[in-house]
Amino acid sequence: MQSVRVIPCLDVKEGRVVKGTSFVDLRDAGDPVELGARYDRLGADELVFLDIAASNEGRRTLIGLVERVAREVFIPFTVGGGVGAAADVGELLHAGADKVSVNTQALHKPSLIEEIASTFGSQCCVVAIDVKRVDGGFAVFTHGGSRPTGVELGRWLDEVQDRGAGEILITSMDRDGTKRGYDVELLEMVMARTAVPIVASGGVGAVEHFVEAAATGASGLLAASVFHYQEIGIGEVKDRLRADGYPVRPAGLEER
Amino acid sequence: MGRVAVIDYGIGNLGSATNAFRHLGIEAYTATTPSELGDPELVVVPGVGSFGACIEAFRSRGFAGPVLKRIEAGNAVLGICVGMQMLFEGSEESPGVSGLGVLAGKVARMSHRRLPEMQWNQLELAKHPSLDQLPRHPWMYFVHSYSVVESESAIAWEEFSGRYVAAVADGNLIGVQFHPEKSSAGGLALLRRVAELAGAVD
Repeated sequence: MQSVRVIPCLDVKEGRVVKGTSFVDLRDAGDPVELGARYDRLGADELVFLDIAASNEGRRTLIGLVERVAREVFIPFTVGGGVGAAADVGELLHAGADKVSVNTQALHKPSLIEEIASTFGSQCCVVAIDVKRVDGGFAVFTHGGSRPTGVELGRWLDEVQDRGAGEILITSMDRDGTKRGYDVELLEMVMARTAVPIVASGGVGAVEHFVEAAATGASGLLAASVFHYQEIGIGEVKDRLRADGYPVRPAGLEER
Repeated sequence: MGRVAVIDYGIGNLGSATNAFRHLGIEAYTATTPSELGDPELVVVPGVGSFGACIEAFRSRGFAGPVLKRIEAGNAVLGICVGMQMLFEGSEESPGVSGLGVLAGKVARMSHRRLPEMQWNQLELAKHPSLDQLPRHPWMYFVHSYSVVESESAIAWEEFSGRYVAAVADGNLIGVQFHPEKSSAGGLALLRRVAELAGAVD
């Protein structure tokens, strides 16, 4: 059985971690370097850093900030936001990222996925997909969830895997920031249609929600505000997952 | 001049290995050419991406000769992920491309239905000095789709729809399939111990 990864996500805008509801109405949640170091210490399994304004503002990810976070973090570190070319990926990996996440730019130019996978390997190519329920189906959105693409989710899942995505990060925009839990139906659909690791995102408000997503087979469980505002502890999530039979890495080295 | 050299042959995230040693207070530097390699106590060969691309870049940058010489002389070398796989004869990932052939055996595609294995996994350990600071079943971070099924030099194993080699050792040559530089406290403890055994820690 695959172990489950608990993954805090830093949504970064203008150098600060922010969090809002359904991608709008953002409020401050702290300093990315401090939060990154804290999550490493607390036993997070990976860390995700998304420069959420990058695509909208047409500028590239904040390399310097990525470097500072990377120096404090000794767990896998994924960076996304505004990645439009393999050269951007090279720069982020040099700054200390282990994986790079692409979203908007991959929809504009799907060959970007192949370009990244063939140059740096599939293992560092995460494709992030923002999904909204539209007319009874699942539709793909871009630009931090602000623009519909007209692309149907199933077709896009097939394509990103064919092109070499090593992992897929699925965010439910309907659930994001609502605290109503992950969109389990969405995750089940994604799990049935994929053969790469899946990270679930959007909607966590309670410890049970992590268990619900793990039950779909998603191996990465991402959350942001519940961790930033210390409403739920990483150790608490892991204890609960373990109690329910899901393998998780304990928070400290002293565990034997 | 530092005491751990991390070889940069142009592929993957090399910053994090150097970063990890520095965090431990161990002098580390990256070598982008064989002449920059110098004569450190420990040479680290990282590697991510495909076997073929890694070994080609490693050879074309002129690192194969000096690293093989170090291994023959019994000096400490640590291979990480594809850096460990390259020590073997070849890989199913890149048919027709030969590895360094220091260790017998080939790297094979793993059988799990969802690949890459991208997760923390618990190791089963044999007795080896490099592992003696770790818990009995330490958790380490793996990212790979290909693996060594068995090796005479194996000192650690993992289970992932099958049993695979997680670490190898042959004298002062050590290889790990997982990423110690990304495995938090346990991984850092391993790196410190390997550097210590190599004489790179004061």
